[in-house]
Amino acid sequence: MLPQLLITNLLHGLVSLAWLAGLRRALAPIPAGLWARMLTVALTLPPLIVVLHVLGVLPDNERWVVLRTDLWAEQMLSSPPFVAVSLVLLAGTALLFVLQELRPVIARHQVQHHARRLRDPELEAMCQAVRAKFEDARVRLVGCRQLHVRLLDTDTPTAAVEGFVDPVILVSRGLRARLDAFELEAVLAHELAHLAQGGNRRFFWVWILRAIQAPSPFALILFRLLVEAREAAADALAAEITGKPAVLASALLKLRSGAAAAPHLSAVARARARVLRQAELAATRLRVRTLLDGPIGAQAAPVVTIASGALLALLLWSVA
Amino acid sequence: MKVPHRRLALALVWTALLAGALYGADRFLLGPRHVGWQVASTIEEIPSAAGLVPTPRIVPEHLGWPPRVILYRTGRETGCWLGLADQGGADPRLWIGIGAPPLPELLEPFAGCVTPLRVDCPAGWRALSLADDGRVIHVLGELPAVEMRRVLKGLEPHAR
Repeated sequence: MLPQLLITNLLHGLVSLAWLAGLRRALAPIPAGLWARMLTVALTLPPLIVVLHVLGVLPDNERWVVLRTDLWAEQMLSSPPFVAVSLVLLAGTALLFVLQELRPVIARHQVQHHARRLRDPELEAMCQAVRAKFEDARVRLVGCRQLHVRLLDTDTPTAAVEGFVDPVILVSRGLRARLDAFELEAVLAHELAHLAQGGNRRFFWVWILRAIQAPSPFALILFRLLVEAREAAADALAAEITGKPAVLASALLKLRSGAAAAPHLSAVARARARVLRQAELAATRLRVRTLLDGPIGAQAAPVVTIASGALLALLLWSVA
Repeated sequence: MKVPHRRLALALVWTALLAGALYGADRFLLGPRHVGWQVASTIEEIPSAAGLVPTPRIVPEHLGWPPRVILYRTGRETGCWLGLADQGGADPRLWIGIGAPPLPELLEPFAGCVTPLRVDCPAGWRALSLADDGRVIHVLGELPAVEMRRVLKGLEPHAR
């Protein structure tokens, strides 16, 4: 039963990825917010469809099956070398999940919790002004009856949204010192854009579904794409609200320009930090280029997300 | 916000194309699904998708092992029947099987034996069954009652 479910989930992940890749090519350019939502749907549907199949909630689809998962499972499980290689691959992917997605979350949490949070009236006023711009543009901030902004007492240049119920925007002292008022406004708009797109609350559920699919390499790819897409969507919305994409690009460059690897670290830790920094720089370069080329629009009608979700659900329903 | 119809049409076309490609690849690589009962020459040949293989722990000495006839079914309704013949004999004298009707063609004369009321069993044949966890293991034989019960006893661990 479990191997069959795992193989079904892998096939669903593969089909979702192939569907999204083709759709991105056919419909380019896709608004950043829509792309992020489509990736969320693609990551959410495979486990959901499997659960609905197991519960027998979905209507019988024997006539409409395009991929017969039981036959694929039978073929795959009948070959011991294939099973051995697959187990190594799945274990490796699960390990990557721990190293790439679980450990950094805990590490970031520790940094943010060890630093003191200070009230900064100037920062609060600036945040209210940016929020007013969101309201003027009729962009709703999800779960934000009260919005708090705090100065994080650390030199590490960082900004983040924390919390599920009453979210707090955190801006570090290190970042604040580097940015001018316009850049700070762009950073605040970026963090508010995350809240407009569901904030931590929505992302938490997506992360749980990703954790359930920890051994799936397709879920890994989808999740990495989603992490990038969320940032791109927040950039696009922030640029749309402030009307200053170049300022946000400048803030991003300043955010990534400092922090060389500390000399007291071991050789392995320094190498790891260097690799991570290269990856961050590559991601930042892409974000800056997108902002400077002119963002492709942040939002799309909800009906488009529903339509694309329904199409993918139909496709995955036929992989049974 | 306006819904772009051209884009929706493109998405539909791409989804249909992908579904078609997957369908083609699936049927080309795996062939048609074998429906109904299949014949296997050894027990090892039975695919795991056929479900439980009711292998007895005790077989009367006069019957040969491995089974002379091995039938299995995969898909939504799984099943397996093993036909044991006398050593040197051709026709099975003992059938051990699992799986909901319809029965394999060879077992059609025994259709009445595997119903809950056990009516219409061929002359000289006895039917016993063992139920556990929603599955029923049938033992049909042209053997003395004591041998039949022993075979059934030897099947008990399968149902637990």
